[in-house]
Amino acid sequence: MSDADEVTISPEVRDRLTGLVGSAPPPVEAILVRGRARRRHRRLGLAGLCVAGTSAVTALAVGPVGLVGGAGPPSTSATTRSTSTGGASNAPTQIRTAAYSIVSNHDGTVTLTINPLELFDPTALENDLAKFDIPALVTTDKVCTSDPAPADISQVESYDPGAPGDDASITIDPTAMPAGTEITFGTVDLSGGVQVSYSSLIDASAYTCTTSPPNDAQQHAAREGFFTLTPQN
Amino acid sequence: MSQDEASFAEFFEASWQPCVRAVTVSTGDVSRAEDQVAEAFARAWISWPRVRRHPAPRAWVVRTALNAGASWWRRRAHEVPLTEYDGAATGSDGKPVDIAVLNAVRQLPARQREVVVLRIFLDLDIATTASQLAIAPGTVRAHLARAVTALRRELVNDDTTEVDACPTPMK
Repeated sequence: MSDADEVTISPEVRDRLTGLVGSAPPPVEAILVRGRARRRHRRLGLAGLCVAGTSAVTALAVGPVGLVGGAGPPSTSATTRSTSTGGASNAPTQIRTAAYSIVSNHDGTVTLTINPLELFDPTALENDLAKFDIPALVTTDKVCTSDPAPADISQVESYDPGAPGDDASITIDPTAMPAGTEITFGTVDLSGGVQVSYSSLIDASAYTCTTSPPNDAQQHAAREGFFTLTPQN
Repeated sequence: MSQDEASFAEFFEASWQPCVRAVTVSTGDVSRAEDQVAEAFARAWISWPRVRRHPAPRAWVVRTALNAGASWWRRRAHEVPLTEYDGAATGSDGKPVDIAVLNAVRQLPARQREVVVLRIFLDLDIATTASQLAIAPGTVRAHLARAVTALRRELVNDDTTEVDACPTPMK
């Protein structure tokens, strides 16, 4: 600690604080392997590198009831994709649960459709998107953004509100995601029973999350399409 | 092992425990803190040429670890209310966490807790702590002084039955 520090910290207090947890680190090799695996995963997104624009957040889906936050889906089905050479790869062509479906399209994009009437496990969705080479951070009750945004979200995904009675969907181009970025999905609640759902592109190593949506979220929505707001039933 | 790997390994070995302590006081759960810190170190390794030049690499790891575990759902699923702690929380080595210390730090106001984490747990100097929190050095000192006073009061009171093992703290 600095000698110029004007605050005296008694040895007893310091020892107690630094003795809070004393677990030994895991082998560094395990960390290196984990990092290499993550790096390989991200390199898959380099081909369509694009950095443009400033739009950070786009509307995703807003349902009449709470979207997420419960236990995992009651059932899951998945089918695997065939490669151009006829062999089967481990990557699925689609995953369907009661709460959402993820489908691989012929052009390489991936369509995520969310059933707002079902609760789902954010971690399960993150893991399922990873199977389609889409690194994602799924949260509830908070908005996560990077400033500046690493790329224009509209270059990476497009939002389809769906026909009346249908679920909203979002189509993602994994190859358009710059390396080191993740797509976030999440919801926050505003006063008056209004829920905001959102999607954004973040720098995975530099972003902040807030549980409080901007006070002027309504104005943002009207002015920039920053949020889409729908009253909950 | 390459030069980069060696320098990362040195940083990792020296920083693991401070980072786990820092994240533990934020999450209240040491096992989750270890998971999140491990993930953060893996990300640090990916970006090691950049992270090693960061003015406070440990702070980078802690911030990344907290972000990695930022899901409200995860926190709700795993966080144990302080009032329910019974001293059974343990790290990967099976040693119990000092619950009195954990509670004392977590009861601090958020800004004081942040200062304690950066200044004491991560051993950053006043200037770097101020820079990381985007506040003035004098503000850091003020928060730190209040925090240390509160911690001394809490931890000394907590130790009254073990006075032989813990002598009166220095003023």
